[in-house]
Amino acid sequence: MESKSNEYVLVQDLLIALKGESFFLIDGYYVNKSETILLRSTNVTGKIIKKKAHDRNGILPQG
Amino acid sequence: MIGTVFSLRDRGNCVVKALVYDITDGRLVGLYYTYYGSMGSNGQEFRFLNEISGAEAKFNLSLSGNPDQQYPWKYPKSSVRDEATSHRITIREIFRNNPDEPALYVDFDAILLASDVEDCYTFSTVVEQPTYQPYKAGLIVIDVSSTKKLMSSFQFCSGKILSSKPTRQGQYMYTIQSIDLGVITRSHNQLIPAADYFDKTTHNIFRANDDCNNLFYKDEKFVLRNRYFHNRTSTVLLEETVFNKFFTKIEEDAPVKTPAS
Repeated sequence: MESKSNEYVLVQDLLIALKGESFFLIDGYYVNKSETILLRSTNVTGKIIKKKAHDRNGILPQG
Repeated sequence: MIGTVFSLRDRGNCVVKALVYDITDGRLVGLYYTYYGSMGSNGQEFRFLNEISGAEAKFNLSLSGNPDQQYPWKYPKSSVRDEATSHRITIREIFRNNPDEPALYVDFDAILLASDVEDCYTFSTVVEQPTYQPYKAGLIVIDVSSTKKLMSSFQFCSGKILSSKPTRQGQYMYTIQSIDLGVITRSHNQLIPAADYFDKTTHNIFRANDDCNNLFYKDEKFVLRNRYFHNRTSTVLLEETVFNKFFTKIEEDAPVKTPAS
């Protein structure tokens, strides 16, 4: 289920997660890697979670 | 905010009720759809009846069932498309009437309805015991959750719920701060739809200890089920073992207050 195409990133610190944490869009929910946070996409898209940028080779930026 | 209520009996006749709100301002649009018919395993036709206008919409629906209840969000969504209008309804959750049977979880996410203005309405599910109650025209009181805007309609008024309590007749008496009628009381055969689960449930209810940006606010109620804290619209799910420090359990048997304005 996890792939570059559906990877998103938190763009601000939250009480429950820190900026930069990756989420994957699965069945309408953003799910973090440990599957401890699920956020319905319609409520957070573009506000606090945005699509993760990749370089031209499709490799995730490090760090 | 958005909300809906539905109930369903998955044997024989099924009923899905939906109260639909304008997503932009929480206004109750007042559409009320009911499905009648038998639901098989796949590909059944859902027939939704707008009980206000009498218009009927038909959707073909494929259901995916037998979920592992710990991971309801992983179940394949079933998109339903009204082929005549290309409008779409996605159903998120359906519960079997018989608890011994595996539940069906179906996405009940969004509905695009043909209307004069082509508005888009979205509603979310409310977890509710799947018991069928015949529809009674009358007051439907809606708690639109985090906006703290409360609406009541169909033919009545808009207002805020001050309190609610069950009656001996099996109904619920609401005290409402009506916009144009002052404080009034009304009874109805249903609990507040968007708050049904929380108001019916006296256990596993928690309150958030703090605000979390726009995700949830302090004192917002969550219910613990399937290892996750759910807010009432299931837009935020937090795993219990990790986030239990963010919540305070509401004592069982304590009266669950309806938030006043």
